[in-house]
Amino acid sequence: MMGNRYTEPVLSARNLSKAYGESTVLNAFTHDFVPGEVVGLVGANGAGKSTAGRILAGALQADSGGLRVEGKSLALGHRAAAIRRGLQYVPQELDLCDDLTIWENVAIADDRLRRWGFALPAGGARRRTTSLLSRVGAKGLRPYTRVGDLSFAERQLVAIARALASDPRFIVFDEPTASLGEEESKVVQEVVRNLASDGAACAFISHRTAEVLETCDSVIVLRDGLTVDISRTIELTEDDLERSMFGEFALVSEAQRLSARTSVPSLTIKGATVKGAFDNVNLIVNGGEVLGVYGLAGAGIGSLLRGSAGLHPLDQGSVSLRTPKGNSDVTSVAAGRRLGLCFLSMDRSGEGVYPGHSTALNIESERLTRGKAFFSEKACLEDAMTVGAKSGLGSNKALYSRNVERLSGGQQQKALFARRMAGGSHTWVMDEPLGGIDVKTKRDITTLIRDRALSGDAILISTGDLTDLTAICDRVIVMRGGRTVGGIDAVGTDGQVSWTHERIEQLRALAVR
Amino acid sequence: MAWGNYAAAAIARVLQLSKAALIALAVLLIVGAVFRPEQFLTIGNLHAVLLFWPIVAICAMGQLLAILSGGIDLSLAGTFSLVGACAMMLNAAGVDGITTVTVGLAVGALCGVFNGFLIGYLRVIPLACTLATLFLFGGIAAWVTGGSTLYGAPEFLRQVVSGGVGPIPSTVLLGLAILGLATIFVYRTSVGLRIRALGNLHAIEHVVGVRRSSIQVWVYGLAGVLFAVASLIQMGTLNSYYPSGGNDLLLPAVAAAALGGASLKGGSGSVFGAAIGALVLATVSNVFDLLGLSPEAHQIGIGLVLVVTLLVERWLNSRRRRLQTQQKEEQVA
Repeated sequence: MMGNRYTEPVLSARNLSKAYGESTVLNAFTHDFVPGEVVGLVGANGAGKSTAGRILAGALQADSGGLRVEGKSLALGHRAAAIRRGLQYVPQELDLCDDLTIWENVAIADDRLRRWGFALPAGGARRRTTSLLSRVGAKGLRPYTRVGDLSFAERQLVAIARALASDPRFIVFDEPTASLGEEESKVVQEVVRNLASDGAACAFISHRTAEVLETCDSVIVLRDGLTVDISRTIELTEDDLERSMFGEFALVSEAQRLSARTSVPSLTIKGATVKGAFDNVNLIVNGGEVLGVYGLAGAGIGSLLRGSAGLHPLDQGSVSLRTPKGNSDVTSVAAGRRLGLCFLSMDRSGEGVYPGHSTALNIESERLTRGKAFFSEKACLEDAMTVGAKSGLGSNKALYSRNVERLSGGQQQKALFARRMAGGSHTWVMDEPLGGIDVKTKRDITTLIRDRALSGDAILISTGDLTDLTAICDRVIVMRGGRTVGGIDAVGTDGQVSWTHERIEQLRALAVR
Repeated sequence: MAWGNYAAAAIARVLQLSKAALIALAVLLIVGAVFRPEQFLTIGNLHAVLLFWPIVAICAMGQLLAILSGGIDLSLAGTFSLVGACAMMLNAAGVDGITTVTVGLAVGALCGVFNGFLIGYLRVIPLACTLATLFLFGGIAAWVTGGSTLYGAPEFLRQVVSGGVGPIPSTVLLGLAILGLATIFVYRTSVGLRIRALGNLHAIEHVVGVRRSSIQVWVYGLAGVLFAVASLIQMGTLNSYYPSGGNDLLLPAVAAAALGGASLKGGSGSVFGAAIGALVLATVSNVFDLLGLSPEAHQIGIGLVLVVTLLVERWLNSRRRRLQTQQKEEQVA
């Protein structure tokens, strides 16, 4: 399994760095990738794995540093040139063309299928696609199926097949198993191993430690953009790897803390069903409680949270919210808002902030829409700063008058929190509130969420990262295939929250079955 | 065997997209045949229906290219007028027919490449860019011709347009030939494939390393050539040049593409569908004429037919998606 250490490297990366605004996402990344070896790139969310992967494949331009392919330097950030030199990238978001068939998706990337420079004979392209599909272990797929009609796991395999079309010698796999079940993940791992034994150099990005140890020959651990460890996987255990990935943050989740949970149900979901998404879900979130929902992509969590917030009509069942006058049904977003329920979308730029407007206006927008017909900009700024200070945005006036698009992901999230707090919400539904946020800000937001719970708010939350989830939640429910399949309550009789390693493992096992 | 499967899948896909337009066409034919049997089902009337079909259909196919790539070409009207104006000027100057036609096509291509350059290399939004060039090209045409209707098309064009094989007019044959070529181009060439891919995947450059700018030059350049062909055919058919000729085609061309199942978001659509959409528009006018509806009722009727067809299409699509999710669930279970 081990690659030969003394082989000439296919790709040499030297001192690659990248920063967005003030936050450095990758710092002096250096490594030699040799043929036949699978290198794991691991780290917590926001550690810089994807950034590193995209820069290595020439899909993103680094601010500084250099790449050499077989000894010759490569122009940074020039994707077409990188592909010609044998570098490829299987993106996490897949980016396939839904309206095109499988063979068409493959043919875009493969110039050699053309005849006379322009014609695309379907026969040749179809044969080539079939052989690529069988290389990635997807023999059951037919080349002329529309990609939009495929399942997620099938799309993953097609994305890999497309990447192989250019006969790459170095391939980056960006979280290829993130949303797959265990069996499907095994298939993908097998594909990666086979490519390596055929002589390709592979970089495998993942945050599932067990999988990394199985698939990779060596592993690079990133934390806050810095390379903190490089080791051979045979010298590592899962515990070692997790400790070096999460650092002190892992300790936060294990630290004892007091739950603020009351026995008053705040948000009640009864028999909620949306066909094709989730089925007969029953949940109760008490005041002062943070309830997490965990599961792999396709488990229906996103739809459930949207359904709970009234964004998606339910086919069956109900969502109700406790109000001073008794329980009230949440039938729409507007109804939910009136009752004090708010939703934080994972798509901050698309469904969160109002782009092109100041941070202050973004924070005050909710309060402004109820009541006052006119407002002064000065008062708006002052009010926003009062709330913003509570949500951790600080008191720098310039930040509040800045266009919200220029804020970092973490600052935007804080501004959205401030907006909802100003709007007087007391029940929160948050879909991946920690997604795409650097580790330090993540800690701020974790604290912010816990503070909301301490002041009596009920919170329903999802994240794909168990460490994050257990750092925040009192209780976690696991979903699989649209149904709730169990959960763990970490609050003891003394009111202490304790997430042990076993409990976290149990949750993971429930999610993948 | 595999080839048979392949052909079946391709035909099914094209029919899937243009199903609603085909249903609309069938309904119109039945209405015409039932209510005005002795007038509707005659060779003369068929010719009347097909007289303007090639012009609308060719414009719709050009528009479809832009739509497939995720854009739109509003400069159709401007290009159309400018090509006509140039041809008229050359004709008046005594230049021979073939040269006139060649220059006309070249002007169309130039207009299109100019659009493609602005959109692809200078990154102007297609809608805004072609809106600007619509005025630019149209303005130049009006300036050249003095903004008035001109009579007397080049003799060569008149001959070509009035010819035909048996009862089939040459313009219809030309329309069908372009339909065939465009279908091959869109589905069987690398550029055609990339045009459709671009409509789905705006970040195509980062994902597969294919340059977006050159694809867009192709799209708008070819659209310009198709608009030029349509303009020359119309000039020959009417034996005159109307400064506003293109304006009356711009929206029908978009409508025909949409009727034929093209998604205005890009990526999805069929050349055949656009041609059928154009046929629906031609048939609607003809049937309403025969039913003796007033010009106002005409407009309302066309609007209603469009709305109903688009609703049917939407319904068919959502039904198809529901069936697919059901099948997938059954497979899982």
